[in-house]
Amino acid sequence: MEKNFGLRQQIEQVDNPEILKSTLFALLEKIDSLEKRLQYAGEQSEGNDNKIALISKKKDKLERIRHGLSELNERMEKPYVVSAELQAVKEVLDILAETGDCNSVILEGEPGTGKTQWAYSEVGQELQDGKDVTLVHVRVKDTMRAQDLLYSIDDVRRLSDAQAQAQVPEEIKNEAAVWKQRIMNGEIKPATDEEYKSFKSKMEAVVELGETAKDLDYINYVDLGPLGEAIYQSGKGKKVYLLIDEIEKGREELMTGILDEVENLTFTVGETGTVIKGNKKNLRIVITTNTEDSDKIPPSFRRRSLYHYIDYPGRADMAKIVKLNFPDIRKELLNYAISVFYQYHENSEIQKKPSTPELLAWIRVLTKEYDSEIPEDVPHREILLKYQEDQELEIGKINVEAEEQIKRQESEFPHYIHRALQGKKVFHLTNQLNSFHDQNKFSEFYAQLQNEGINFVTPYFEEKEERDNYGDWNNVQKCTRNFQVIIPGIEYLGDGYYVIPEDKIAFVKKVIDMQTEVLPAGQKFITIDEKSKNITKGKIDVDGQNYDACMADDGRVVINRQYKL
Amino acid sequence: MKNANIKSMTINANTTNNVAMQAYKKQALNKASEEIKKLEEDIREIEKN
Repeated sequence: MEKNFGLRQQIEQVDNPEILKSTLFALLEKIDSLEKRLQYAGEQSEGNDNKIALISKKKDKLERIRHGLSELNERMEKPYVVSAELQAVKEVLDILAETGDCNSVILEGEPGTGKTQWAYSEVGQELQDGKDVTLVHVRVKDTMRAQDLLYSIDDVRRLSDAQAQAQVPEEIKNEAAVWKQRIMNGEIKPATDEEYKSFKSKMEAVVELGETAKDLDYINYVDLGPLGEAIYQSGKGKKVYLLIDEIEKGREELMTGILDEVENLTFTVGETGTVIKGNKKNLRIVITTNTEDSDKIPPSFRRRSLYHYIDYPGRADMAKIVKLNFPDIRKELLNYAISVFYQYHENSEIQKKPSTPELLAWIRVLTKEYDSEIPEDVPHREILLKYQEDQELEIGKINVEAEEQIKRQESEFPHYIHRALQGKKVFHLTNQLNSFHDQNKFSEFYAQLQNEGINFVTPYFEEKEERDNYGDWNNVQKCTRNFQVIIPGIEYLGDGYYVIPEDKIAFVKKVIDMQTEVLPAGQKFITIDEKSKNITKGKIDVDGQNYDACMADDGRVVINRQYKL
Repeated sequence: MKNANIKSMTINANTTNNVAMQAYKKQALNKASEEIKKLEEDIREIEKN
């Protein structure tokens, strides 16, 4: 117990991260010992409901502090890869919160996709940027009530303090002692007992009369819960991130119970009449939920929040995450680990899919044991797989040269962009070739191809009924097969795009309308039309003209320029 | 909103020595140790009864 001696002084004096860390561990130990004492006290007071309720409240509080401390230690400094989509959601949230429209976001995703981690990293990042922010983390449990999240009043503590106060009249002191005993013995319920309430109001009068007894003011005995705390702090002008973790674990009553407070950021402490008001501008609420039980979130809750589904990271992003955590990892080992991991992760026979933390733990062991070669089979399955049947599953070929493959699998660009980025000459043949009404323009061109002995197919049209802008049915000619030219050495890339070597251009020169060009990195976009993990599409300005542009992940930009004859 | 060129990005690597982070941790530890102190008093009270 003496371990904690002088702890506060220590904390105030020292900035050294190592000492902060050891202080943290000392506090965690202290919490352990207090928990044991509570456990014992609980066993001793069987049958006394009040006391057991009191003990479990204290236990919850200890638990909360423990989580706060240990997560603070583990999570806040971890590197985190934010997907572009999530980044965009955050920006939208900031804008909406500024105007007071919406300040909460629901994040849904599989375990290990970094829902919780995101909130911690955001707070860490803001701290790093020199902003004053606080993180309040609520782990929802099925026993939680909405009231617990807002505040509770510590009656027993207040009665003890009344006993100790010199200014309180002797008579009230004695009575306070009796009431405290009765509450502790479980004879009355402080919230409902009428007699106790009348004593309370008598004490109130004393507190109000005697300036010196002000310490007994009820407001000092209000124990703000996490939601209450977040609202209170935001009202005081501090930026707060409130993380409501795994909300699906709570009962529906909990979610509907806090709905109003989350939306209006106002609540009243019943006993004192104090109204606590928050400020939407300062508060961001991050609600996380697992995919499996996400339907437990009531629609009324969803209506008031943004919603984002966090996809499980793909191979390329996962490689990035691993590299951030293990900057010195060998490329072969990284590819091996990712290849193995995804074979398990994507296997539908697996009962419990491994997730990111398990992968990182596994790699930690691998990096220690394999410093030059690659494991042949899968060692340490116990880290990844948690069922005997899963561990016995055979997996397929392990791919160690995965990097190139990863890139190709992840990419969403049309094929022609890749070919252009690989340095091929890509051309586009005019879309008029596939237009029913322009066919007569090309009949001479077709004849030319025919006479030169070139293989090609003309477009094929089918008559179909289609509703026009006015809602009338019309017969239109739909192109169901595109024009295509088939020359050895020319590669068809779909959508009218071809790779055409210099010596073959002459054959189709007449119908080329665009040529694909790769510009070096560093181009400025004017507008963005589409943005996702692997793809950036928009418009850029080249020599005073706007072009549709796609950006590769190395920053090079592909545009289609008018083809000049 | 003009959607600026957003890319997937990395936040928060290697912040161990960051001053603001340390200050935040210190503050959190302060608050926790205060709360623990209070709780210990309460537990003593419970044990007495």
